Amino acid sequence: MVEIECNDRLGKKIRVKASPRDTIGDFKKLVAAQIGTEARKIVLKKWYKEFKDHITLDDYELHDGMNVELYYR
Amino acid sequence: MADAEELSLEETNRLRIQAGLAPLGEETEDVIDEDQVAYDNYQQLKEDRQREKNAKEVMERIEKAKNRQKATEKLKGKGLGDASDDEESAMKWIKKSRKREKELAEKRARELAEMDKGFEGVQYDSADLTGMKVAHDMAEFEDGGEVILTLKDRGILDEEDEDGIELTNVNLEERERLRKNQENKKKKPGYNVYDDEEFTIGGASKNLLSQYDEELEGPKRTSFVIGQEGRVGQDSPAQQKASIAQKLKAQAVDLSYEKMQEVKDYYTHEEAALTFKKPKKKKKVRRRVAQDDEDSVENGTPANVQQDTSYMAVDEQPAAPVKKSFDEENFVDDDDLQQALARTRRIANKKKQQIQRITPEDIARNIAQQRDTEQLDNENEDEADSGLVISNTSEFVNSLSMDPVIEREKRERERQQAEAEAAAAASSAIVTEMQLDSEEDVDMENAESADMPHENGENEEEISAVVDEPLVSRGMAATLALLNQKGFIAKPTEDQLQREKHAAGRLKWIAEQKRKDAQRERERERDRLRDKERDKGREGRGRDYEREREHEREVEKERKERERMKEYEQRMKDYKPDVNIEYTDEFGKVMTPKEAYRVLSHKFHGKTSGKAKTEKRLRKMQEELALNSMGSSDTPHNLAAAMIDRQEKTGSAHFVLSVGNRGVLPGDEDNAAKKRRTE
Repeated sequence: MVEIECNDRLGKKIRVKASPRDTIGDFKKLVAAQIGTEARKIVLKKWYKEFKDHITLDDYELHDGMNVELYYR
Repeated sequence: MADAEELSLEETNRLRIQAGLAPLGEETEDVIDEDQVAYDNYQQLKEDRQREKNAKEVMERIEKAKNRQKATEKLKGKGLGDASDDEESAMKWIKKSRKREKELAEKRARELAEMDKGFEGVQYDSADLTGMKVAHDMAEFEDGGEVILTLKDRGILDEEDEDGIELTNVNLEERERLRKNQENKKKKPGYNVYDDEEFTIGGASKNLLSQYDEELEGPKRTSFVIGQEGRVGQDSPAQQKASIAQKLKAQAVDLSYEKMQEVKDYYTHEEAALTFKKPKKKKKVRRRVAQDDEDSVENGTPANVQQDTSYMAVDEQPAAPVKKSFDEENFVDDDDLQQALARTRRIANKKKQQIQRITPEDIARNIAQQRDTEQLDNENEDEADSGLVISNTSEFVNSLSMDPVIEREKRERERQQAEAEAAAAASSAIVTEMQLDSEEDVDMENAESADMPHENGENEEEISAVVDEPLVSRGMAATLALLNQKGFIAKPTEDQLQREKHAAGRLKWIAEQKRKDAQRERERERDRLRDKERDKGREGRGRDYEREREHEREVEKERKERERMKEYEQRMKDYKPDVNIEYTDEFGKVMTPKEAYRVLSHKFHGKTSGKAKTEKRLRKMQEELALNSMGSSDTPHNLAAAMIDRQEKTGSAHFVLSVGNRGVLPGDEDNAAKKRRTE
């Protein structure tokens, strides 16, 4: 299990527990459940790199305690 | 950093289950060793490759085996080196080959026989040549010569000509080729101005850019066909005509010429022949003819006389031809005649010059002679009236009849005379001298006296109304007289006379100065000589003496200088230079100060007076010239001459200028009629 922080820098900051084998899409669902925004409206980014839904956290090498930028579409 | 919101594990798992995901915490057991996976993968890959390789090897082996089998199948049977199973001996082989040879020979013999049979009974003569084409022009064959013709070469793949066989001669072909090469070497211009359809008479119209045609269509060849029984050149009249026309066309004159011909220094023979020849001089020949005529006449006359003296008419005849020849000479520019004329002219000139050079004694003698002759003439005239004689004197006398005119003239003259007298008192005698000279028999010496001219002038006035103008040809004096009469030479004014006097004084002064200068020079020379001698005498004395002498010399020099200055001052006391600056215009006339100023001003400012002003000035000048050049005794419009003419015509001393408003005089015709009646 990994815990990943998502911050939109506008006042929302959450810690999400997830499995490394979860895809970004699954991860977005968990985030959506926590912040109350629809999953398809959520964009996850690391600098200019936008994470794609069908790739797992492990493949993006998102490990425990890492931060991900949270944007809205 | 603000605390992030976080869900608990249970809540998360619940959410996950709702979302259809595996709950967290279970997957912790089956952790995959990735290295192991990678190793396994690699092992599998290796195995696969090995298997494939093996399969390939097997396939190749099978293929090889198959090929080998095929090869061996082909090589079945006997090899060359293997012993033959047949019982074929050398004897047998020889027999076989011989048999084959025989068969071949028989076949060949049969073919030859067939050919012979084909040619048997066929005679080849001139008739066989009918319709054969000869690929040369008829003109190429010389009359009576023998030319061997052969079949013309033809490409192997060329199709058979429909014309049939062509015959050629190698030599002729060679000659044609050579001619063509030579033709090509002459560089003919492609374009010819006159090369037009209208210039090639009756010729077929040429193609566009025909100079390139030959290369496209190949060389055109003339040929002829051998006719019946080998005859040749028997064309029909129409054909002959056509051929003649073609030949004539070929001879058409070419009007083109070398435009860019170089100019050469020398003519060729042909060019030299074209130039004009100098016409031969005919003068000499003619003269000789004339002489011959004369000769013949001279010769002939005595002969005629000898032949028949009785016929006077015959004697006179020879005279006629002589005259005729003279006439001819008059028409022709005869050298002899011209020479003779020139000689006489020269003699006359000489005489004239002699007359001009004569001394006073001669003149006196001449006058005496003339008087004598005149007396004689008068007597003669009285005795015998021999024809009409027109002379200067007679003209004089004729003009004497018009009294009124003379009166007027006389008065005018007298007025002039008065003026002249005033001027002449101071003037040199030259002017009057000239007037004198106008009369033939007056000599120059008489004119030296100042009183004489007046008398003479008066005489002249009494004599004539129209004054005779002295002839320029008579000499320098006459010329001067004429000029004076016409007013070209102005009479000397008071100022001029003054200046002349000054000039004379100046000349004298200059002469004096020269004399003095010469004297001074001489003195100086003498001094120098004396000094030198003195030096020579005292040479080699002391140094003191040298210095003393130097001092002496300087003192003397100073003294001389002072003397010279004094002299110079004295000399310059009388110095009055005669400065007279004259400006002349472009016609060489002396300008007045005003005119000169204007010219200088114009030159300075770089502008001249306008057109109107210039014209006015020129007109004025012309008028002046006309005034100068007219007869001195007449008005500019020749009124005096016209009046005399009129008087002569009407025969009366007076004439009426006008009557009332009428332009025509009523009395004119009446007078004339009256005159006629009286006569």
